[in-house]
Amino acid sequence: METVIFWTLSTLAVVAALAVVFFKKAINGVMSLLAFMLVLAGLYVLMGAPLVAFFQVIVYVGAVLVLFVFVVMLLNLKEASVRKPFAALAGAAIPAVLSAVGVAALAWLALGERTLAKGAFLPPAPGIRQLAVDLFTRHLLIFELTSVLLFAAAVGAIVISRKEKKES
Amino acid sequence: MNPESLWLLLVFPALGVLVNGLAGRRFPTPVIAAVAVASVGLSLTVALGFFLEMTAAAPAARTVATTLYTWLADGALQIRVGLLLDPLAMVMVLVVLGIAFLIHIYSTGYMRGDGGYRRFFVYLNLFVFFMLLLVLADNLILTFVGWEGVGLCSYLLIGFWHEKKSACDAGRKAFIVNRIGDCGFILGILLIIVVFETVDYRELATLVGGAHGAAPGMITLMALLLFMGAMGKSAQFPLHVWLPDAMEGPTPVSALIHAATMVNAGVYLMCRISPLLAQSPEVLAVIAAVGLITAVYAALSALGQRDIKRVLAYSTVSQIGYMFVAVGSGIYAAGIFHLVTHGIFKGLLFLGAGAVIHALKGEQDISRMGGLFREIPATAVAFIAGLLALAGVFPLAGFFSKDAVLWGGYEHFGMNFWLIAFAGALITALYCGKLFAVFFGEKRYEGHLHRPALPVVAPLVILAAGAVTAGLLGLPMFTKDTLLSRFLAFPVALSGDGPEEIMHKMEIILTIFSGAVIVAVLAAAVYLFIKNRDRMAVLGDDFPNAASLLAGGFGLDGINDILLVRPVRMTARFCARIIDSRIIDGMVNGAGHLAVLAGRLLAALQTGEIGHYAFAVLAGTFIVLGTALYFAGLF
Amino acid sequence: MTLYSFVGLGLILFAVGAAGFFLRRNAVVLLLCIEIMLNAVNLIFAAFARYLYGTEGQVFIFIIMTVAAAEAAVGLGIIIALYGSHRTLDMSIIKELKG
Repeated sequence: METVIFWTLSTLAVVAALAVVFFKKAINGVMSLLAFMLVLAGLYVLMGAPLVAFFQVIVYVGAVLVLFVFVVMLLNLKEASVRKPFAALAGAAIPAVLSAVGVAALAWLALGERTLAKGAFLPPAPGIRQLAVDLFTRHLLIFELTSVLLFAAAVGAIVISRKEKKES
Repeated sequence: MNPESLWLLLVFPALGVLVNGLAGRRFPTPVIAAVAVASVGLSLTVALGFFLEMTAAAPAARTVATTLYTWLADGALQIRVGLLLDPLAMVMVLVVLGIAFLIHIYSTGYMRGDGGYRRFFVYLNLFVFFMLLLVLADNLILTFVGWEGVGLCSYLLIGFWHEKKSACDAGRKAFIVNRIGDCGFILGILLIIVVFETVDYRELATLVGGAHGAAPGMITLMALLLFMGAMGKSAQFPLHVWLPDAMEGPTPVSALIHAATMVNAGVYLMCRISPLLAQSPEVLAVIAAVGLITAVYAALSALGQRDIKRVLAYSTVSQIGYMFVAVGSGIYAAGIFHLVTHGIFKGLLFLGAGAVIHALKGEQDISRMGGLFREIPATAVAFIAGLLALAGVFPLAGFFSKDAVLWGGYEHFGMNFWLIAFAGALITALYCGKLFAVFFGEKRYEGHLHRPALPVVAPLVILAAGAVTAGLLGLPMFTKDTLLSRFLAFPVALSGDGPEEIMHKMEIILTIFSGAVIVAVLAAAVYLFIKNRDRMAVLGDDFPNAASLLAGGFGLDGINDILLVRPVRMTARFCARIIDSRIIDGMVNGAGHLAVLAGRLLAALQTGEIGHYAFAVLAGTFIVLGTALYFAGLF
Repeated sequence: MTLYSFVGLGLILFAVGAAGFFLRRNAVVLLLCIEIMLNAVNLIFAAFARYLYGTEGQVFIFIIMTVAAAEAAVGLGIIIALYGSHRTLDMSIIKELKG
């Protein structure tokens, strides 16, 4: 049963990702990304990390994607953004293919023979309670630092958009 | 007297330098003069004190020495700063200080009104200091310090009127030619250090005299190298070219440095290393040969000069040649004797020439002088006394000393040698006769004469007296046992062949013969040059080519120019234009260009295309990860 | 549905995102591809978190998410500014970083 769900969701994810890459209109791409993220949320649930799925939907879908939609709407990119990819198709495809191959090779080599148990599923993942406790005790520092980061990002975004407003 | 007082001889002139040099700007002229003259005078007094003591002492106990400290020590080699006053040094010291004292007095009158009055006396005192250091040093290195010091002072004083380009050039020329000789000097010292491990004269004398492991060829080499230094300093052929040009300096300088003291340093050095020379007859022969060639060559050149100072300059070169002849013949005492007498009468002649030039307000060409006797009688008489001494007329000093030199040449090298040397003496008489015309005959100058002041005339008179009486040092005649040689107590080096009797007779014959012929030639020359004033520049109109050849010193300057100066200039130009500008600057600039080029190449990486940047990031990430995994052993 | 499957999926998605980054010229789409890559990495982290008992994996996912959100915000702000001055979002035209 789980295998079926897994393969379905995987296929959907890959299709959605490809769709993002190949749609001509930006808004279509954004919508594909939406689908992609929802599928990913499902995969997280499948892996036994419901909290992550939850946050995925709230943060990514609810905030980031909405932001993307705002921007696309704001900039009113009506016409098809680009018809041709970067230079010639071949010229751009090479780095693309290379990167894909590179990632795969690296991963395959890294995973090699020595890593963890190959196939077996382990006992259920730690629960939300455990996660929450760790987040606020063992990993407190990074947690606080991210809040600083968010603050900086917020200020930065305001500064950028502020300037732009002044000029226009 | 306390041996430590030897240092006073040096201290007084040094004080003169310091006082006049540092504080002299605020002094009025008389004070500057007083300081300078007093410093030399005090030194002279101390020297006289030592002299009296020395004459009273037994011949064996006539040496005074003192050491200040050890400068450099390396095992057996000890280079000390110390002074040695033996009879030889005593004679030199008296000559230097005596003549320097008179010249200082002379200069107070001669240099009056000159803007560089203070500077002049500072340099003059400095010169005295270094000259005394040279003479009194007890080892070769310290002598060399004095050697270089007097060279420096010579340069400073020749170029004293440094606004004149010719003066600066002359100073430079003197220094450079000297340097060539110094090369030999330094090499010689180094060789001695390597072979004998000492530079002290006394130690050297002991080592060389006894058994030592050095090959005879080595000693010859040492002596030759040191002689090369002497050639430079004493202006022997071919390193004499600087002396005629050195006449650019003020006349007191010419008198002091280039007649009476510094140029004698070479002769003195040879006497100091006489133990070394005694071991090497070849070098002695070379020295005598060089001296002889120089003597004749310079006498001929003197004949062709128009400038009164240049006549005297070449004459000096010639006379020093005679001194080296004496050294080469092994009769050092005769060389020193001639040194003393020459110092007196050449100094006299230069000072007299200075007075004449001053009187004529700067005129130095003899063809424009004449009939000065009536106007400046005292100067004239003194000058003539000097000329007679130089020519070698009995009973003036030059007669005795020149005769001693000639006799030494005969004893050692035979009749031919004597004849050539005698020919030189005749030419000397010729040009002396020529100079007579300065004072006699018709007036050739215009305007009023500027009479010389007392400080100028007095030394002339004193020196003239000396020129007349100094011959006494050479008594008794016709023996090797004169007053001077007894005092000097040199080991009688090498004596000639033939039994005593015959040699004795030969000496008398030669002396009388030479004395008579010289007087005759001199009289003829005087007559000739006074009567035929137009022939001033030696038969100039009849034989213009010969005349210019003689006047130019046989073109030696030209030869030097072609052989040495031009190649050096070309090399310098090559280095500057090609090596420096193109190659080195090219390399340096090239490095800069290279940096810029590298920058441009790297800048080409910055295309501005985001895709390219992203690819670089990706590739870099893979490489880093790959390397990390590799080293973590996962590959 | 082993570890390999999830990791493999994540890798494929990452490769797609990377390829897309090189293939597209629109600035917004570039950002979308970046989001794909980030999510793929999140997936891999989650997979490893599941297979290695412990909470570190999921914590790091949160961090990544936070950073991605912040970066998207700033990036979009930049895009707006770019559009304002260049009137186009074609990244092959905008070459401010050249030289």
